[in-house]
Amino acid sequence: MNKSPINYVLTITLGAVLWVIFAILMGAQLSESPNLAEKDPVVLAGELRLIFGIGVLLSIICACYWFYYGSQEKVAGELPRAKTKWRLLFLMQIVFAAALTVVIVVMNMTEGIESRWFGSYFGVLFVLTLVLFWVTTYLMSPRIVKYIPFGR
Amino acid sequence: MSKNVLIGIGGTGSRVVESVVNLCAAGLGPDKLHIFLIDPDEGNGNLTRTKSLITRYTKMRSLFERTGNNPSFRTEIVIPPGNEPFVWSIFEEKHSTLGKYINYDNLKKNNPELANLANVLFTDAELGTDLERGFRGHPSIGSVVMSDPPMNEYPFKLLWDGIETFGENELRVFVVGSIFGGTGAAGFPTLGSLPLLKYNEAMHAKLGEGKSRILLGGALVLPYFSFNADGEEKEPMFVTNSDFPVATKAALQYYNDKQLGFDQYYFIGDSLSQNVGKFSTGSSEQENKPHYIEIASALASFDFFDQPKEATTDPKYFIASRESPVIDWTSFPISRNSDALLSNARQFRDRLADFTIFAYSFLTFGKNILAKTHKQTSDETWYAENFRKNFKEESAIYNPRHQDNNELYVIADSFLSSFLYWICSLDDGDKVKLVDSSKILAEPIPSNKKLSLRDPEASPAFIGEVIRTRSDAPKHNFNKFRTAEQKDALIQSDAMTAGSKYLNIFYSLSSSFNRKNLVNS
Repeated sequence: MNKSPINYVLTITLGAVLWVIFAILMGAQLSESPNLAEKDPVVLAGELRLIFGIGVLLSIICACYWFYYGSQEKVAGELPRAKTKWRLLFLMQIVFAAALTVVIVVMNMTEGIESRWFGSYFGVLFVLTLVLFWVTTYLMSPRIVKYIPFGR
Repeated sequence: MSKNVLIGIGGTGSRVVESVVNLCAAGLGPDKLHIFLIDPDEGNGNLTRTKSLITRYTKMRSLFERTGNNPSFRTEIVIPPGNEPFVWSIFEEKHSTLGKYINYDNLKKNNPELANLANVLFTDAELGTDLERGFRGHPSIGSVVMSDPPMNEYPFKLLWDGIETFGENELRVFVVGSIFGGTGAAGFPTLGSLPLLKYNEAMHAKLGEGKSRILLGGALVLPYFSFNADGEEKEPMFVTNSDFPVATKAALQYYNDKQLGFDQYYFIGDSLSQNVGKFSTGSSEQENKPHYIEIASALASFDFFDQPKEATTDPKYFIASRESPVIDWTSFPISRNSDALLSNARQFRDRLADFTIFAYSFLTFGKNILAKTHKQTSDETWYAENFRKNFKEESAIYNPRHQDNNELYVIADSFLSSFLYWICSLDDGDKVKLVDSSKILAEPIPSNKKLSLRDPEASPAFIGEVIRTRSDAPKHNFNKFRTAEQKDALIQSDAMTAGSKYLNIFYSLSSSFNRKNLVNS
């Protein structure tokens, strides 16, 4: 599972599955349940699919970069640097989740959506970025950097 | 079931035994080997080095539990037990002379005819020179004093123990010494005389007319080195390089004429005449650099011990020579068995290469990792796979840094340093191309032999160039070493101590690295 291209393919697949679950299957509920001032829930659903998609895409890009970086032999000689790099990528997922939530907030500032819904969007983005990145790198990091992700 | 006994005589004999021990450590020797030495010069530096090496080998072997696919230290080397002597030093008292040994002063008074005979056979210098430092290139003295060794005492007892249990030719005794020096040249034909070993009736070696329990082999090492003799001409009975050819010619003539008990001879020599350092008549100063001819002689003993029983009767002649002035891994006469020649040559190189990289990587990277804490090193994949899951601080089975493992590391440090000194000393940078010592050593070998090793983490490219090959293929670097596949890096054993496991990991990583690095070469 930690060999190329299996880890790349599985990461993309898992990202796609999570996006389908949160953006398509749960998308209707996430867009229709909040009280909207003017916006059509279908439009909000489209926005959420796009933002969630961007979140998944960023997370997949980071995981794939980690796989590429961690599969290079030279990294065996720079494990402390690799550790710093993984932590940075991990923190970036939180930033992505927060930034994309802010984008949703800005786009819907005049709609009077209750803040708990923004909390839910952040929760979904948290799963689609940080959790996705952690799970994929925890399970599928190349052997050289296998023991770098938290929890190993 | 046969028994193998190796007897090293004199300075060259002890140096060949040193090579034997190092090759056994690399996994090239027989399953079991009994060893002892003969040298009147107990303070001889070569002898001291060999004695210490064997002691450390046996200790390392007893502490280091090895996995089934780790051939290192497979040979059980047996030396006399406890404080029994490992070296037959010939003289019981210090400052002996030939005159004292034959009671020359008494002979002059009581038996002047015999004293006169002694005068014909020996010069005054030969009769009166202190022999504590050996026979100084005069085998005629040695042959007198070595003719009646104490067979019932150690170290000879090591040879005779259990003699009755052996059938014809099952006790394989291999004698090695130089043909051109003093002790070896005297001891070799003396031990080879028919009644002393081969057909010794008192010790039950003889089985009947023309039959013996002993298969006697010997390697006669012909002149193969030169030395610096500055300022030593004052020494009594001084030997120079120019004496070697004359002494050798006379000795070869003797072996041609004399009927000795040897079943098989190996004549080994070299015309490169490499300089092995400063000359000394003996004592601790006589400590010469290792030489590749000693490996060839050690391999001769392995070939002798390895021959099948049915091959021991017919006399055969085997000749090997180098094809060029350059000595590389293919230059060594490995075996008399032509069918196995290629595979044996490959095994010879692979095992020595693996052990060299093992020694180097453990003494540098391995020790660096041990000097860090468990937490600091647990991101390293090979380490984490072996020690992270079951780590227990207080257990010597699961914690490689547990104090109970320190004894193994100390002896490993000492033995592997000696091995690296030996293999690096063979590299003359010119004609002997086995390992490139400049890729291992940060500085040339100092006189105290404390090696300063390159850090492979700081200079990762060098490790791939340590083993010299004919191939120009690009070599791998140290990162390849530490990224070995799990099947090579993971040592699965619940009973083994973490110290042994740690060493096995390094052997396995070294072996795996060499298989990738030396492919097609």
